[in-house]
Amino acid sequence: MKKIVVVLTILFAAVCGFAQVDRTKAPQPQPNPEIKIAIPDALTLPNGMKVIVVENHKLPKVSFQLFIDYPIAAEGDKAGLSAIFGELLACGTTSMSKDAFDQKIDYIGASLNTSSRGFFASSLKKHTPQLLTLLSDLIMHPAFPQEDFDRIKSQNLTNLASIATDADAISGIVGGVVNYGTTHPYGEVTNETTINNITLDDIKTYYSTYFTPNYAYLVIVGDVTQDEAKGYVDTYFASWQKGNDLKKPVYSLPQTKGNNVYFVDKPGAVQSVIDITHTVNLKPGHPDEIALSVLNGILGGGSFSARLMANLREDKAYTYGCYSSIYSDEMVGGFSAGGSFRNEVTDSAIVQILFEIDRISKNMVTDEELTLVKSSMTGAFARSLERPETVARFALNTIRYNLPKDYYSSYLKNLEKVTKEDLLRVAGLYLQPNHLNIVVVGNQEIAEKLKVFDASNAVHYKDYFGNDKAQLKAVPSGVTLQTILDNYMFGAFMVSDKAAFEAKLAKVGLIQTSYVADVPEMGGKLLMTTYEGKPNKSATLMKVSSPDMNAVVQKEWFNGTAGGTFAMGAGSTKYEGDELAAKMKPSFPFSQYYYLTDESLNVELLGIDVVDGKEYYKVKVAEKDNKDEFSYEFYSVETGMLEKKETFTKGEGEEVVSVLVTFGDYKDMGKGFYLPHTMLINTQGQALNFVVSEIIIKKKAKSKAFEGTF
Amino acid sequence: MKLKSWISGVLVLASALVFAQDRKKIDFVEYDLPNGLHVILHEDHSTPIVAVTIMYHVGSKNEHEGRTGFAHFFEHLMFEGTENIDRHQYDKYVEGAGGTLNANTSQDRTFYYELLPSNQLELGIWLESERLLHAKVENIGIETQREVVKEEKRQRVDNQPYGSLMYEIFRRAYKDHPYKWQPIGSMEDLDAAQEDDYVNFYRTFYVPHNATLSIAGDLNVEQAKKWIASYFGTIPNGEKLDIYRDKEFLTLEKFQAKYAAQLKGRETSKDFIGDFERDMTTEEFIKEYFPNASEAKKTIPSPTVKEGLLTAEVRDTVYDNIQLPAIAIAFRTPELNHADHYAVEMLSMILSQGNSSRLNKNLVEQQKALFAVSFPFPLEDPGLAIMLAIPNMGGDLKDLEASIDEEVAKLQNELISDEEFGKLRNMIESDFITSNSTMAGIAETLADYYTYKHSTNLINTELDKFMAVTKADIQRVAKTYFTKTNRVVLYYLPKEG
Repeated sequence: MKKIVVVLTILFAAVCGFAQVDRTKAPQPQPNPEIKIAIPDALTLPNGMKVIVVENHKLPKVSFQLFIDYPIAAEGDKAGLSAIFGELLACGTTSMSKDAFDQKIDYIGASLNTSSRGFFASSLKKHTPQLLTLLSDLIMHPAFPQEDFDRIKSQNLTNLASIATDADAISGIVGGVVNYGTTHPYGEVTNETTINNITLDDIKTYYSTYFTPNYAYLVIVGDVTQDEAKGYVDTYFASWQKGNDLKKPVYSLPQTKGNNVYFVDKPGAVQSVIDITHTVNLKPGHPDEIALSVLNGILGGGSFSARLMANLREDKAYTYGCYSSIYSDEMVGGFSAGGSFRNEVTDSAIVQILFEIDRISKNMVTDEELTLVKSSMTGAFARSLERPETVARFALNTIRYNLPKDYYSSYLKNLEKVTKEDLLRVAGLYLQPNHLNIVVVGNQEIAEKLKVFDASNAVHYKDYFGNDKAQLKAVPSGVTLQTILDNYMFGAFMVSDKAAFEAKLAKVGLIQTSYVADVPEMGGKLLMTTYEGKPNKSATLMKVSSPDMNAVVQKEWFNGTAGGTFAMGAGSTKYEGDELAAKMKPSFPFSQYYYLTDESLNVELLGIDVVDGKEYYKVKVAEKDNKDEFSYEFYSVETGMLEKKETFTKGEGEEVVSVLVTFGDYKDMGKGFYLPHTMLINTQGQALNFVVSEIIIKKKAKSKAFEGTF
Repeated sequence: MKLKSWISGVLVLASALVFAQDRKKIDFVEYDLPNGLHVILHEDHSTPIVAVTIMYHVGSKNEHEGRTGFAHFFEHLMFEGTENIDRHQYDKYVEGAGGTLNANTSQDRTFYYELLPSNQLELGIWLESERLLHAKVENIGIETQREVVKEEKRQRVDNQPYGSLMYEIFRRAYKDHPYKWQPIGSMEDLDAAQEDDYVNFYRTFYVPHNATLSIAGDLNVEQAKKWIASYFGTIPNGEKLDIYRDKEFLTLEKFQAKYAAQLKGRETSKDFIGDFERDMTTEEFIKEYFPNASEAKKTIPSPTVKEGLLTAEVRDTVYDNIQLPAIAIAFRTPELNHADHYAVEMLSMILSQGNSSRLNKNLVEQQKALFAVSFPFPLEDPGLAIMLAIPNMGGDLKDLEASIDEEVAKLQNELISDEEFGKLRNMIESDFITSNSTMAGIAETLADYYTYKHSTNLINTELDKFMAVTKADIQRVAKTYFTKTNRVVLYYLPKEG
């Protein structure tokens, strides 16, 4: 019986022409394919520009990458300059407006992006001459229009404001500062002051100093022959004038001794962003670089079986992802490990990451780990070659970093040669398990638990921009919440004691303030008027005024017992329930007047904080039964006035939205009240600067506004 | 004036002539296996990699009310393992070989791929053949993936500003057609699913004649054909495939009960029980006990309802967790295979492709809108063209709607200029020619053209169809489809409180 079956099977296979396979086991691979990489040589023009051509005739398309490898230099008090320059470069030429330029790029179906070090552009081959005409005009005769400069600068300032909501961005800034120091190009910080320092002349000087062919590489990729490419560069780039040679500045690095814990308080954070990092002296193409990438693949590369991921996610579920990286750089490279972790496991996560760094520095990896990472790196390398841009990058690196000519063609061979012993050697040489910067951005509540990781048993506090942030100082004796609030209220009413304050308050029933804010993004102004009436009346009117429209955007009103809101697009609503109850509470002339008597509030004096070099009494205000919102108020130690108020609100998910209001230009306009005349509002990357146009103070709390009529 | 338009007419003509020489042909071979699997092979030795892909012609439109989200959920389950591949090993095979893998599901199809070094082609073919023949769906996998899909929905839809947009548009744009729900489906439906639902779904749609195996890269066509014959050619179809899967997945008792009528008592014999439990391969078993099992292909059900143009405007307001209000306008457009498909695509490009497009120029740069786009959403059955805009700070949705209406009216009332038409054709040409640059992309595009249009060679010729569209065609489709009675208008407003 068995025999017959076997015979039948063979017969069946022969008839159908199918070789019978054993599908219960995975098939074995064929011999490794040969990977051919031809790295092209560069051609140098008389003006110094080097040209790399990678032929790939699959598609009738040609791309051009201009990369100007001028020395990396710190920008100092104008940090942010090169970024703005890179954006402004795309804004037309001396003979063509931005609109006309955009139109021409679109007409030939091309794409173009510019940066401080050049551009990337591509089009079909038949449009290449038109594209190159536009590109050569752009780099030799850029327009740098004032209005685009102003627009880009203001967008950059807006973007700065959004850093406060982005823990990863904060972590990056602080990591740079502690690893490299603030005078190093990789550690310097762009802030409002440095951006405001930048002028259009700086941009023009930057262009003429740095943007020269001496340092330029033009990488041409696609359906082009060497001869055609030579023709293109002769026609379109040979007339680009050579600039002066530049010195390569040298920067020193801070020395990290022992482990240091740096903490940035991000109020309301539900996760900690952890970055455990140090600098690594590793230049591109160094013989140890390949072994270090294998090491990193095992420690914390992309796969689920990498140690950090297997330990902190798959085993302990501290996080959605935990990774590491080791990178080379022509100035100085680095090591970094971390991720985002729930507040309560922040210290445990650090314990495990340190454990893994230590373990891989001291013990041999397993054969299975080594094999898996090597094959996944081999595959990734092979796949990357599908894009001709990869070969172009290899060619550029080979000449930029003066790599051996066969660096990339022998990459896989060298990868295969890496042994467990090599990994232990490079781990010992490059990883610094006892000299780490541990940067944590998270909730203040967990900060003190982290001091055990610091060599000096202390947490070093930083602000969002990497400046040292002193812990709150104790207030001097005699200063209490009461005296701070009184000082502020008496100051605003320009009186010196409680009796005088009450007497003056009896004569005031209405404060009406009008504000104007320019909003360049919409080409117009925002007009706002607020009404405060005794004891609990209030109203706000917000209008837009621009060439395109004049309209009411938002209204709020409350007459003491009833009121509502109107918002454009959303329509009107009436105050009801909790909202109504909150409105019913007295609030005139300031909410501070009720802080110590309103039982539903939790108001707490935290201490003296230093912000931008100025000392403030920091007061926390929260409602007892509302965990999702609280504010910090900052009263100037010097003047007593409220200068900043930052409110944190938890949104639908877990993210926390903050609104920072800065009150400035306190003065008396002859009415006997010392009041702020500017109000800067920063939230979610938006900044609005309201300037007071008028303050009206009346004895009676009477206004149609409280009824919703404006 | 006359001279100028004559010159640009000549230019348009001249550039059309250039097209003919510019295109490079993508060569491929295609054939059907006897079991009905369609195979497409594209050979390209420039990089030693290969993309192994398989497209199943099943998407959310093949689902039923009460079981929405099933096609996508199934895609997740298809990574859980097979009769010969243990749980969690499917992806390890690929990653250990230096490759990557993934999948995605739309209204119309489900697509799986492995990107491998070319010496691992046989591995890729084996993996996909295992998935088709006998993917294993176990309770632990179902439970885990159900949670994963719920997280996916939270992340992509619920927790994303405007993430519910497609859901809100489509549920109003269709009355009866299954396009009225989204591929992610309803989590209640996934919770309600029974074991039979999984078995039936797999049995109905994961069959050879409902799949296209498309492989592109560094391969030898003859060798590839041999492997495909060995791994896929041996997969039965019809009743025989059902028996095959039942033999592997059912317990003896269930199998006996199910096939009692056919086996007429033989199923309780000692021989049978021994063969079922131990001695025979599934192939031998079927040969022995079901020698006459039919391999006739079963019909794949697909929705019969076709929804044409809307007869009256649907207008509604949606409140969502967003900061800025938005407006969405969706027009019913013809199915992918309709002759007007190309003109509709081009109309959307006029409105919204490039810095100099009409919506960007007239709405965004004029500061009426912070953001404005128009994009076609063509599907196998009649689809939609969607316009979406967010007003500038303080702007009113009504005004914005009027501005969009004005742009649509312009397209209906005026022919576009020769200059703009030239730009449009150049953009289409550039997009078309540069779109097929990777092996994975080529494999998918080939499978798309075969699955939807039964004309694989459109990968080389579809540009002609775009180039045949005239300015008058664009005006005509603007008048036919972009009308006020054929649309859904949604106002998106921030939720109160």
